[in-house]
Order: sequence, then structure tokens, then C-alpha cells
Amino acid sequence: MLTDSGYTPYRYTRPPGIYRLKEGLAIAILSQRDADKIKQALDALAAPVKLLLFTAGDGGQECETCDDARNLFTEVAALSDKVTLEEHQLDGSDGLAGRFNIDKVPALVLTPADGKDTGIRFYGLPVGYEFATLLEDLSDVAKGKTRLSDETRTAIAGLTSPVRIQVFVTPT
Amino acid sequence: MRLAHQMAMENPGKVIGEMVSANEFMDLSRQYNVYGVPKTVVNNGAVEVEGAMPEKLFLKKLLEAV
Repeated sequence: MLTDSGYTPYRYTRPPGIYRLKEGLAIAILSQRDADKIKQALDALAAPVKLLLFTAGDGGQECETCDDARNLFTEVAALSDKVTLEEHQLDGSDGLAGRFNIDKVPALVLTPADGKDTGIRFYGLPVGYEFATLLEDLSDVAKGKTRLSDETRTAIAGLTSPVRIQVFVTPT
Repeated sequence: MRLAHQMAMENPGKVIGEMVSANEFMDLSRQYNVYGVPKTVVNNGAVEVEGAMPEKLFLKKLLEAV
């Protein structure tokens, strides 16, 4: 797993889980212990951040995990005033999905309070280790800077053609 | 995963960093023959790397794709 040198990832007693209580009713549950730790991390953010969640619209896109995503991020956003959740539809009239080039759901975009794109996308649920990724990303977004080396930042800043990086992951 | 997002943050006008949950997007995973994770795909297959990479190698692979 990718980690920044010298950076200790958040550890949880278990990954934030998705549990199906019964057919047709899905609910994301953060244990109280996880919720406390996550709240601590969110309250410590240097500035307010936004979670833009894109879910299936009326266009009939299949989305088995959109309800789970909505429940999970609703719980996360409720933990701290620093985090605002906005939900948009993939085919919504606001055109936001197009603006962020969202092509599947559920999708999550992280932005600072002004809604400016950070290039950060999560397609599907960030569970297990990727939930720690989400929290670390939020910390970077709030600060408006990363811990990448000067060499990397210079190289990235100098890119003149578009780059799409897709990293496939599974829950760990 | 973090590196892709950090690199996107450094130049969001040009770089998009996407986490893709392989289990939730099976068709896409099949398209890129994802058997092990993390699997990194740059510019729709111009570069594909299976396994975690340190920052320098990640940057090198990314630059190979542009």
C-alpha cells in the first residue's frame, strides 16, 4: 500500500463497515470508537471542506452502493462542522457531474469550501484502508498543500497534457 | 492511492486521481485485467502498474504516459 514516508496512517479498530440490516435497507455504521477518532481528525482540519457525492439520477444508471455511500458520508459529515456534504445526480440539471467529468456512481469529489476542483475522485466506497486515505486527503485539501517532494511538485506543475490516474483497490 | 490524489491536487487542471473500487466496477476492472491491487492505470492504459510504488517511481511511470 502506498504511504508517504514518515507518515503514520490513521488506524481503526476495524474499517468503517457497510452492513445490510435487511433486504432493501442498507445502512452505514461507524462504531462509536471509529466515530470519535474520525470526529477528532475532522475537527482538526485547517479549514472547512466539502464532500460532493454523485449518485444515480433518474436516467436509470445502476448503482448498488449509492445508498451505502449516502449513508456513510452523511454520518461522516454529521460528525464535524468542518465537513459539508452535497449530493448531486449524475444526470442532474446543475451539470456538476459534467463539470467534474464524473462518469460513474457513486462518486465522491473533495473540494475546499469554495468548491474548486482538487482532481481527487473516489469511485465506489472508500472502506478499509481507503477510509484513511479519505481522511488524509481531507487534511491536504483543508491545508491546500501536499507532502510531495519539491521535485515531484515541480514535475506535476509542469504537465501540459491531461493525465488520468486510476488506482484500482479492494477493501482491506 | 494517496500519491494519485496528491499529484492531482498539485495540478488539478491537468491531473485527475481516481480511486476505483474494483469490486464495485467489475467491468472496468476486467477491461484493465485487474487481478492484484493496487493496480494503477494511467491515461486509459498508456501505462499500467500492479503493486504499490514509491513516489519517485510513481512520478516516472506517470511521465511515461504523457
